[in-house]
This record gives sequence, structure tokens and C-alpha cells, in this order.
Amino acid sequence: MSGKFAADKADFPTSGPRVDVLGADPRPGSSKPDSILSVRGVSRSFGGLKAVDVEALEVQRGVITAFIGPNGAGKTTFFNLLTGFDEADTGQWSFEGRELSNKASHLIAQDGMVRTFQLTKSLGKMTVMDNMLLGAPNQLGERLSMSLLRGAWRKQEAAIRAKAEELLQRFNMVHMQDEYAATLSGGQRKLLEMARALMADPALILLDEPMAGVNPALVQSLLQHVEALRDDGVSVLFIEHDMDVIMGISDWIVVLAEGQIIAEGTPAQVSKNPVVIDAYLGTNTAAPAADGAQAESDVAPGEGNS
Amino acid sequence: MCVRGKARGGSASRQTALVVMLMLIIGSLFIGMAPAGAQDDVVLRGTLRSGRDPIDAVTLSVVNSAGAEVGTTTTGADGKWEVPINAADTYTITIDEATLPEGIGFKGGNSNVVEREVTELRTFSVGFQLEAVDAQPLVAIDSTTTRVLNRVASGIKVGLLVALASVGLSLIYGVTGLVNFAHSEMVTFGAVIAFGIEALMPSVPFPITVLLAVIVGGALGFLLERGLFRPLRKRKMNNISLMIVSIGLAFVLRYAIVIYFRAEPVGYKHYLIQTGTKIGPISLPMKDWVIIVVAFVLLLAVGLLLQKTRLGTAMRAVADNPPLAQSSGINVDSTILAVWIAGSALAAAGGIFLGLTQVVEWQMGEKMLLLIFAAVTLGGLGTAYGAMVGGLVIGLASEVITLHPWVDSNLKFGVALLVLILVLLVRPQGILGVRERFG
Amino acid sequence: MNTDVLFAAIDINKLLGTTLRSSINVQSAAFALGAVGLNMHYGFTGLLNVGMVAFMAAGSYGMAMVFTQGFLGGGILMGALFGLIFATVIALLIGIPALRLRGDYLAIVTIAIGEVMRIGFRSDKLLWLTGGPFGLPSIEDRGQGVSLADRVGRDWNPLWDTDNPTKRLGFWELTFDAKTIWLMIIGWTAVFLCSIFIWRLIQSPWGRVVKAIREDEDAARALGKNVFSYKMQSLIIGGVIGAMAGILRTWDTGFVETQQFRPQTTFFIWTVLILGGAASKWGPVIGAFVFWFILTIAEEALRQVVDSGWIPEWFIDSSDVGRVRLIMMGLMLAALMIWRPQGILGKKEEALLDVR
Repeated sequence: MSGKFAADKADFPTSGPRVDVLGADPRPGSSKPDSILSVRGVSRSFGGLKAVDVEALEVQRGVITAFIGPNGAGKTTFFNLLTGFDEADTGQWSFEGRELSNKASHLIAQDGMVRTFQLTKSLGKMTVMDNMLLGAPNQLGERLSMSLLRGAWRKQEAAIRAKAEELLQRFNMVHMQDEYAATLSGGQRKLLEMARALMADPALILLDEPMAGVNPALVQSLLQHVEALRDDGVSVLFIEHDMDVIMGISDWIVVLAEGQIIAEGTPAQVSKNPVVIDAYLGTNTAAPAADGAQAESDVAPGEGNS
Repeated sequence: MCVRGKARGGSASRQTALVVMLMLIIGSLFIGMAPAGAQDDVVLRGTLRSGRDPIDAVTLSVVNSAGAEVGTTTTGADGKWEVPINAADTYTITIDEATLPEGIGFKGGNSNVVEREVTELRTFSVGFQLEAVDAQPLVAIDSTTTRVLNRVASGIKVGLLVALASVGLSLIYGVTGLVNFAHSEMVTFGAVIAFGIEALMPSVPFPITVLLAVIVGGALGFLLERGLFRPLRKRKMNNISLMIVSIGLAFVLRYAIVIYFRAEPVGYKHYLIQTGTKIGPISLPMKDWVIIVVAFVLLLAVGLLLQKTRLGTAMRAVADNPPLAQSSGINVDSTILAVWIAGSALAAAGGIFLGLTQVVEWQMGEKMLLLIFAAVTLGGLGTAYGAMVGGLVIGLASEVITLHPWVDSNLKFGVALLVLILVLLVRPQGILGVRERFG
Repeated sequence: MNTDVLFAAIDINKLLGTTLRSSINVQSAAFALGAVGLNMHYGFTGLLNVGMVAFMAAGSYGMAMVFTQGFLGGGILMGALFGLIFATVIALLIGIPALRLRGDYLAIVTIAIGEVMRIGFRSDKLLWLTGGPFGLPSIEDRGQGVSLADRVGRDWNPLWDTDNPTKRLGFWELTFDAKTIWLMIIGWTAVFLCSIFIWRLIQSPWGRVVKAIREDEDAARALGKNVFSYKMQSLIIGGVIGAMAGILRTWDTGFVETQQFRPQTTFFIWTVLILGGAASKWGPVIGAFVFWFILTIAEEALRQVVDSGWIPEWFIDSSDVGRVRLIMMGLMLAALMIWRPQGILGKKEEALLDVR
């Protein structure tokens, strides 16, 4: 459904400090003043179809960058490639200056680039607290040699538990810490996955459609958490379809279509970009109109809104 | 895989109770004395087998150094025998050759008499060197090229048979996601049914017998899918659980066959002994030539079915994407049923041909199981063409490898399995399979 | 045949005795141990290992080879140690290719490895080492001229009474000779210790990771856990315990032959585990006991009935009774998976997992 949206960010309440990227170069693949993730020549094909073909991309540190594009544009595949869940055919990328290309997924996570999944992978057969405890890195007790020597890891476990409780408190879930994750609602599970990802103090967090399937009432709360992340200094990269969400929260937007980056820029810049409008034309998602408010009049009768 | 239908609730615990009760009732109904345990007596004992297979109903006698008979016994179904002794002595154990089944003889240089020195009074084992005597010895070939070519022809024959047996397994996996461990028993079943038909109606021309047996094989496939696996899928049992059920089923089928058929290997009465027919430098019995041609034609027919007919297209569609196929109007359940029938019929055919070219025995399917798995994995789980290619490669490889002096007929199985493991290392989706997309 | 004749043959003591004996003797303990190992693999880690016999064979043959050849000093302890190391090597050989694959592929590979090992040990080329097709009918230390049976039952057995070698210990119908009782003590103690060891591991943070892997290994990866490493550790632990099962069985029987290591042994162990309850603490123990109880009582009963003529010859005759055992195993396995996949002690939610 299309809602009202505004191209001008100033209409939306914002909170916290944010790096001023408005002056940044809005061309696809442009370099950023302080990039945390830098991608070059990455491609991935399935059969004859080239799902991802990104020549260059730099992600600015400390801001919320949104990945948008029509269905099948290759956004999730791109995430999978970056985080090691799929093998790229070509290309390289580096994170915090370190080469990551085709490194194993668990090592990438250990390095500080953590992701969530479109279909939440909260571990339903384990309790909320166990889920959280899993998120902490470098646990002595997780090593086979130490696992039976309780004395060796007891203190660390207590510290991790305390941190988990603190995070759960922030996400308003501390009272259900002993519940099995399967009993949580869809939105709560998303929150759990996010909270769990934070246990590792990641430098960059990649959220794959964090709002998908979430009760609309919970969306605002989720959004606030995402903004709070950024305000804490965590760089956020997220895939979304919902335009309201994207326009409201992103500092920067990258647009993918057919595997390639066709546009970058601030929400204001992207919504005015004719290339972007072209890519979205004819889809059900409400496309950004040329000048914001008068969306209805620009759309042919019977077309556009679903 | 997409699962259709709703799970039946509530009756699960009733059924559990029923099963437990049945087990208890059966257990308590038949009360009797336990036979006296013989394991505490001091005995001479052994197990008679040829290759892996125990040989039963063979009589042995044990005589002591003075020539007095100590005991006579007959091997049981597991090939085991024992004769109690009560003194340290040198015993002579003799097998009554008249009681050895047909096709079993002693390995070169070994006799039916073995001496065993019992130095102290405890149980001793005695071994005999038996082996299955090959009903069709290969004609001695001179030149190396001829030998190689003969092996290749033999390999193609074996490969085609493996392919016949494997297509069904691969397709069943493709359309339902089930790794059907009981598929190998279809092979045995087909061969055994053909034997039965031949025995009942010996005047019927053999090709008709084959046809009838193949139909019965397909019928068994129908029954299994309709009566067992479809209801279980409707109950939303996941594929791993179904695989384990198929393992149990394989045991039930296999041991039912050994009980109601027989344990000894037998051959069909038709075309029993044939000398080699030479075509070019290659010499194979005529029946082998026929088998190669027929098997090839059958596989060709399968390929045509898959490519040119609606049913075939439906099979490929369901194997690729069941929900999409369903929404395109394809009746997925009927397609799965057709796959089971066809797959089982093909396996039955493979079994009959195998029985024709080697022997019919209750473990023939079990012995083939790993070859089938190797073929299917090599070719790509889920594609029929993959199974054909894989089957041919495995058959060829395992036969050709016997040219190497180090490799005997036992070891060639090992080769097939090593191929399997290597393929999974390097290219898990097989030759024709498609790499799975993540997420 | 009337039922009076049938029931006149009752000797409940004898029947129960035989059944209970088979439920608690060394073979049952060995199967319980095998199930404990498999519980680590499948129950707790979700690995579809259908080749437990490979580990048992590694243990048995490893020990037998060292004992007969006298490698590294020979003797049963060195033999057992070597068996365990051999099993670890096998675990690595299986794990490195197979653990990265999907569940059903792992199943196929593990069966294949078991068969490759069996065929290898059976080969004539290895006659000098493994006894080839005949196995080692009586494992003897050639250097010392003493048999394994004697070593285990006589030299290392505190219960051995040299004055009364055939003495039987126990009570009621449950009497065993000294060697068997000794091995039963060793065996069941091993079962209990291993069960407790594994349970404690699973309750630890290490176990937490393993549980996560079982449910969703990609989630575990995304949290920075080295999934392959954990799976390998689990494979080795379970495999070593499986080797212990093989070694125990060989200590009991005194010989090895390849027939002992056919896939059907693996399936017996699977049935034991599923019956008792996968992913439970004592499932393997209960499973082994109940499995042998049911199998023995049914087989004995069936044998009795067949011999007394109650069942017509064409249906089942006396030589078939041994095979009925395997039909029963097949039925039990299938019935369990369909109606009670969690077995006796398992939890329903745990049982229905979709293995990766």
C-alpha cells in the first residue's frame, strides 16, 4: 500500500548525532569519506543468469545505509556473498581495511560483520537467554578442552549473562528470558535476532528485511532500535521493501536492479532519480514520485497503487 | 519439499498404545522354554559361507584321532555349526560334499577335510575355504586389447543394469525428497518374482515372464507409495524420518524374501548355460548381448518418456519445483505415483537381467545398494539422466579396474565406493546435478 | 495342537531368565555404548551417521591387530588404545569430506565408508594382518602365545578363580561365567560413564553451540561459530565411544570377522537409540535393554511355537526364526519413526528435527 511519504528528510523526526553525508557524491559506486566496507567487481551467476554484478560500492561508517530495489534485484544474494554464505564468482571486498573475499562465514562474523536473516533464525528449541548467550564471542566454555572445567569459564559466563540481560532489557524482553524462542511472536523473534547479533559488539550489522512479517505496531519500536544502534556507533546496512521505512530512517540509499547498482544517494536524491523511478515502474511497491506529495496525479488511473 | 494435507491429530497416542499392546500380547502369547544355552559347553565350531553368504543345511562330521566319531551336525540358516568335544586331541572335521548346495565348491587346492589340534579344553573355531563356483566362466582371452574390450563390454552391461536400478531411486528423490533405502529390494523382488513365474509356468516364453515380473514389480511400487509413503507424507513426516522408515522397510522386504524364497543362489532355467558369442573381438554369452540391447532400449524409452510425453514433463516439473508444478495444474500425487511405479518396474527389470547374467539370490539387491548410491550421487541426485550416466560410469569403472592385477572382484566394490566419496568431495551435486542455492 | 500342550511347556523362570540375560549381558552393553556414541552424533548434533560399524570395526580390528602382532608392546591396553586412535583417524577421514555436505549425503558417505573398511579388512591382501575373509577366529598374541580370551578373562580379571575356572556367578537364572561378569561390569560402567560425560558436555557452553548447530547451522555460523570444527569434534567423540563398543564386543567374543560389521549392525544400533529416545540422557541404556528384551522374548517364543508345531511349516520353519529377528528390527524401526519417533525417554519436540 502506498502511504504518504516525503522526499525531504527534514519532515521526519530524527534523533542523535549523524555524520553529514548530504554532501557525499551520489553516483553509484562513489567513494565515501570514511568507508567501513569496500567492494570491487563482485559478481555471482546462477546458470546463465547474473544475479549480482556490482562494480564498486563503498559503505560509509556510522550511518544507516539502505539497500533497495525491485524483487529479484539481487540484494539478499549480495548480502550472502559479503558475509560468506555464498561464493562469489569474481571480485573482492574488504572490511575495516581487511580483505574478506571468500572468507568463511563464521570468520567474517568474528571479524565484526554480523548479519540477520530474512527468515528469522532465532533458535526456537533454545531459550531466549541461551540464544543471547550464543551471540557472545570468544567464550572459553565453548572450547571442548575447557567445557567441563566449570571453574575456567564460570566468571566469563556470568559476565556474558549480565550483558545479555542488559540488552534484553533494552529490547524489553528480559522478562521472557527463560521462554523458548519458538513461543515468541514473529516481531519478538526479529528483536531477539537483533539483540543476539549485538552481543558480539559488531562494527557493521547487516539486516535482511528486518521489518518483514512484523506486526505494524511493532515496526516503530524496531525502527527506534535500529536508530539507536547507529547512535551507538554501529554501522547499519539493511535491505527493505517498505518505502516509508526506508525514507524515514536511512541516511543513505543504494539502489539495486538486476544485480547492478543503478543509483546511490540520500533519500531526497534517490527519490528524484529518474533511473530509480524507471526501475520501479510497474511494480506494486509504491515508487517514489517525482516531487513527493502529488503522487496520485502522476500515476495513470488504475496503475500503481495496490 | 512441499507437503500437502493436514496431519492427523489425536490418533497418534492411540496408535502407540495399540502397537505397544500388540507387542506385549504377541510376546506373552507364545511362552515356552528357552532352549538350553550351548555357549558354555566346549565345542568345535565354525561358520560356513561363500563370500559373505552363510551356507545352511550342510552336514559335517567330527572324528577324533582314534577314528571314533565325536559328533555330526548340520549348519543352520546362519551357516553356523558346533560339535561338543570333551578332550584335548587332534580332530578331523569333514564336510559331506553331497550336502553342499549347487554352485558352491572349495577354493583351489582346498579340501573338504580339515584337521584341528585341540591343545587345551576350550572352544576352537574351524574354517573351511568355500566359494561360489562361477556358472559362466569367462573364455580365456589372449591379447590385451581383446581383454580390455571384453571388460569394457562387461562394464557397459553392468553399468546399464545399475542405471536401470538407479533411475527409480534418483527420480523418487527428485519428486519427493526421499532417499529410498528399500529401492534395492525392488531389484531382488523382480528377479525373485520372475523365478517364481518361471517355476510356475515353465512353458511360457521367457520374455513374457520378464514382462509379467516387471509388471508385478511396478505393482509393488504402487502399493508402497499408495499404502505407505503417501499417507506418511500427508502426516507431515520429514524426509529423514521417511528415510529411516525406508531402511526398516528394506529389512522387512529382504528377510521376507529370504524366508519365503530361499537362501541359496539359483539361476533361471531358461538360457542357463551359454557359451560366448563373438561379435568382433568381444565374446559374451548371447543373453548378455540381448540384455545390453534391451536395457539400452529401456533407458532410451525412459528418456523419451521424460522429454516427449506430458507425464514425463510433469515428472521433471515436480522434481524441480513441486508447488510451482502443482499450481500449474499438474497433479503432483499422481505424478509421484507414476514415478514410483516406473522406478520400481525398471529396478525389477534390472534385477531380472542381473539374475539372468549372474544369479538370483536374496542379497542381490543389498549388494547393489551401494553401487546404486554411488551411481546416483555421481550422476546427481534427482535427475534420471544423472542416474544413467552415473550407472554407466560406475559399471565401467568397477569392471575395468579388475584388469589391474591387484584388484579382485571383491575390491571392485571398494572402488565404486571410493569413487562415490571422491565425487562428493569435489562436486557434491554430481555430474548433472545443480548446485543448491543458499537460502 | 491345543493350547494345553503349549502352556504346559511354560517355564516362566527360564524364559524370563534367558531374556533378561540377553538384555544385560556384554552384547547389550556393547550396543548401548554404540548407541551412546550415535546419540552424540545424531541425537545431540544432528549428524546422520549411518556408518557406526566403521568406528566399531576400527576399534575391534585396531585392537586385534595390535594384540596379535605385538606392535608397540602389544597387550590388551595398548590394543584398545590403538583401536581408539584408529577410530579417531576414521572420524577425520569421514569428516573432512562429508561434514560439509547435506544430511542425506552424509548418510550415504558414512555407509560407504563402513563398507569400504569392511571390504578392505576382508581382502586377501591383508590376510596377514586382519585374517582377510575369515577374520581372526581366535585372537592370539603370537609373540606370547596367549589368546585374547584368556588375557581378558583370566589374567586381567579380578573375579577369576583359578581353582574353579568354570564357576558361575550370579543368582536365580542370571548366572554368568567369571569373564562375562567382569566384562559386563566394565561394559556397563563404560556406558554409564560415557552417558554422563556426554550429558555434561551438552549442558556446557560447548554443548550450547552444538545444539544450535543441530537446529540451524547457518545461524551458528552467523554468530561466529566454526560449525565444521564442532561437528568434527562431535564425530570424533561419538566415534571413539563407538570404537569402545567394538572393543568390548571383541573382548567378549575373542574373535573378529567382517560379518560382525555389516550395515545391519549399524541399523540395530539405530533402532536401539531411537527406541530408547534420541537426545536423552539414558535413552541408549533403556533402548539396549528393551531392544534385546523384545527381540529375545519374541524369538524364543517364536522358536518354541514353531517347534511345537503351532505354526505351519510353510509360514515359518525353524531355520527362519533367526531371520525373523531382522524383520522385527525393520518393523520396530519403521513403527518407531511413524508413531513414536521420540522413543521411550525422548521429548516429542526434540525428535522431529529436519537434519541439515
